[in-house]
Order: sequence, then C-alpha cells, then structure tokens
Amino acid sequence: MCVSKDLLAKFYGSLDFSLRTMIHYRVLSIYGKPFDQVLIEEPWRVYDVLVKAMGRHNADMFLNILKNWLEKNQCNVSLDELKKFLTSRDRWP
Amino acid sequence: MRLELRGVTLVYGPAGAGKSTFVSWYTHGRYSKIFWVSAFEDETTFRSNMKKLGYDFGDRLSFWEAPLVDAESFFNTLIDSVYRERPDALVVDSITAFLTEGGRGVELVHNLIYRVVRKLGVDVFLTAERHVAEKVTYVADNVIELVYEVYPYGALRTAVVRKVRGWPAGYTVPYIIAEGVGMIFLTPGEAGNVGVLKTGTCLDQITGGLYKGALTAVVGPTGSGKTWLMLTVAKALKDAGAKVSYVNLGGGARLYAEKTGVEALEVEPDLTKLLLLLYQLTASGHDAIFVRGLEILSLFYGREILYTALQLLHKLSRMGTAVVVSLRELYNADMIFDVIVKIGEAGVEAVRSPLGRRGPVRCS
Repeated sequence: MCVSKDLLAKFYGSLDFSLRTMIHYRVLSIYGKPFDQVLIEEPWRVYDVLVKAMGRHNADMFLNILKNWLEKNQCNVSLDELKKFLTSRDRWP
Repeated sequence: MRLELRGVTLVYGPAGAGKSTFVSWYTHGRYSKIFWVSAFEDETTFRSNMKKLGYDFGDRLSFWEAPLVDAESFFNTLIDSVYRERPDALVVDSITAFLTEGGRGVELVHNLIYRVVRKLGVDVFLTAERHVAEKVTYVADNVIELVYEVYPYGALRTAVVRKVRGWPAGYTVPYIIAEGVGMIFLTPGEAGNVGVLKTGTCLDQITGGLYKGALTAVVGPTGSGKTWLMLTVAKALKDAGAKVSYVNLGGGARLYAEKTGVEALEVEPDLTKLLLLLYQLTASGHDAIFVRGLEILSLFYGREILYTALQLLHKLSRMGTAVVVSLRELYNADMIFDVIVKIGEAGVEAVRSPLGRRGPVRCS
C-alpha cells in the first residue's frame, strides 16, 4: 500500500499555514505534543486525535483533503481504506 | 411571523443583523435534527448565545466548527456528513467565504446544495453577507434580507421577505432581538384582538372608548392636560380590571403618574429599548399602553426618528393592544393614527374616531 509515514508528513507540510497551525495548537493543547509527532510516531491514532482535538467533521474533512492529495501524488486509496490506516495499529509495520 | 421556508433559504444582511438568530428562531421550533455548520463561531459560544435568546437546541443539533479551507474540500465533507447524518435541516453559517471572486463557490452551492442536499428532502439555510448574496439568490427558493441600521437613538432592524416559494412575499417586518425572548417580529395579531375598552371617562363620549389594536394620539400644547387625560383614562381602566401601563420617555411624569396609582415605566430615549419594553407589555397581555414624551426623540435626533417611532408604534398596536401617545402637535403625521383626540381651551375633542368628529366636551 502506498500510504506511508513519509507521505503523511509531506502532506501535512503541504497544508495551508493557517489550517496547519490550527491543528498544531489544538492537538498540542489537548495531548501536550504536536500533531506532526503523532503523524510520524503513531499514525494509527491520527483520526481519533483529530476527532478529539477538532471534532468529527473536521477529522473527516482532513481525510478528504488527504485523500485528494494522495491521489495527486499517485496514491489512490478510498476514504474507508484511508480511515482504517489512520485508526488501526495493524495497518502499520 | 408566519413563514413556511421549504427547500433552500438564503438569509443575508450585515454583521449583527441577526442572521444566525433568524435561522435559530426558524429551525428551533420546527426541526428535530439540525446540522449546523459555522464558519466563524465555536460550538460552546453558539449554544450559550442561543440559549440566552431562548433557543436551547440540546441534542437535536449537531455542530461543525468548520475552518476555512478550499471550497471543494469543505463541500465534499459537508455532503458526506449530510448523507451520513440525514438531518431535517442543514444550516451553513455562512457561505460568504466560499463566494468570493475567483472561487468555485457558486458552482458548488448550485450543484451540491440545490441539486443534491435539497433533493434528499433536507431544508437548507444559507447565511451570507450582502455583498455576495446576489450571486446565489437565484439558487434559493426563499430569500430573506435582514436590514440593520445603527443610530444614536438605537438600532433599527427590518426583515425584507423578498421571495418565499409558494407563499406571499415582497413585504417588510420590523423586528427586535433580546435576551430571553429571541427574535420578535412586530406583526399584526389575530383580528379578534380588536375591540373597544369602555373607560367610564369623557373619552367614551367623544370616541366611543379606547380601541385595542389601534393607535390613538392625544394632541395638545404643553400644559393643556394630555398627561392628565391619559392618566385619568389609565386609572379608570385599571380600576375596571384592565391591564395598563404608562410609559414615559424623559422626565416629569413619573411621580405624577404614580400618585394616581398607575404603574409608570421610565425608558431612555432609545428606540430599541422602547420597542422592547412595549413589546413585552403587549406580549404580557396588556390591554392598553400610554406613551408620553416621544417628542424627546425628535428633540435629540430630528423629526425623522419621530416618524419612524410612530410607524413602529402603529405596527405594535396591530398586535392587539390599545396604544396611546401624547404629542404637542401632529407634525403632519395624522395619517398614522386611527384615533386623534385634541385638547384645547374649549375642552377635549375627537377629530378622528369611529364615531366621527365629536366634542369638544369638558372632562373632569
């Protein structure tokens, strides 16, 4: 599967500054660590972390933006599949 | 106000006009599952503000604090959420950011809101600032403009009902917003509210009594006895069991009124506060309200505001209460009044009333 920690990090870096800053500080205030650390160290927790920090709709929007970005970077994956990557430990080595 | 807003409704106006409040007012009592998308407000603030106005949505409402992102990502998520949650009503508050120049907002609103969400049987409410509203009025089944002007003498708010699918449109309704009561439209009451109150005073001789659902002017120069006549009538009605109040702008009458045993309420020369007070009295079932000192508005802010105040009192009277104002002269505004009583040296005279012109008579 094409989804990797490197791609997730690249995607996060490509986000608009204001959106990235918002995610960063919301996650930092709740979890005491920056979002990019979650993204790299525990990608299977990304969706739940976003739900808690920013609400379910924003977590879903993050998935939508990520899916579109992955497609543009030759990584086609469905929303359901992507959600599994960002919620399931067993999807990652 | 009776409105049936089905399909897509666009509510537009300047900041502070009450767009969110209008949609809260409409959806609160009508829908059991509301999906509210806010581009500028957090959920806690929204719920707290609306609760203060009387709109406590509880678990009937799911809220999305939407950040500003590209229109495509936003609308994609919106449609996914609507399909999953199946609300009765969807509110997007506001779509202004998606309708700026160069964006695909209009296309997305047209294709996704009108052609997809509406077809699911979901009523959609879109709010927008005026400068972008024109771009989507054609998409909306219903268009409500909220006009909001702020003056030193208070804020004036008017709802312009521009288009309502299947209902009459093309009219305006003044409204006020206040804590505890929410959005209040000054609309006429039921026809049954119109009636005559016998006062047991000389007023009965010349006008037939005091008319509920009507605006009466008591006109005469300073010292002619306007306050005395209004208080005499108010006291007589009160003694007969009617619910009456005497409202005073400016000074001079409160002590006099209370000596007669009539409840006197002081209000600042502020049209918003005056309207709110008069509405609250009307809504609490007052039979008659007497207003003294309206001309202070004219003194401070010019003649136009007096006319505006009289027009609003005229609308308020149509809610079913007898509204009586005292004035030193008619200021060419005689057409506004249903009944006109003049006080002069010869006595009290009806120059307009259901009984025609009568008097003068001496009142004691």
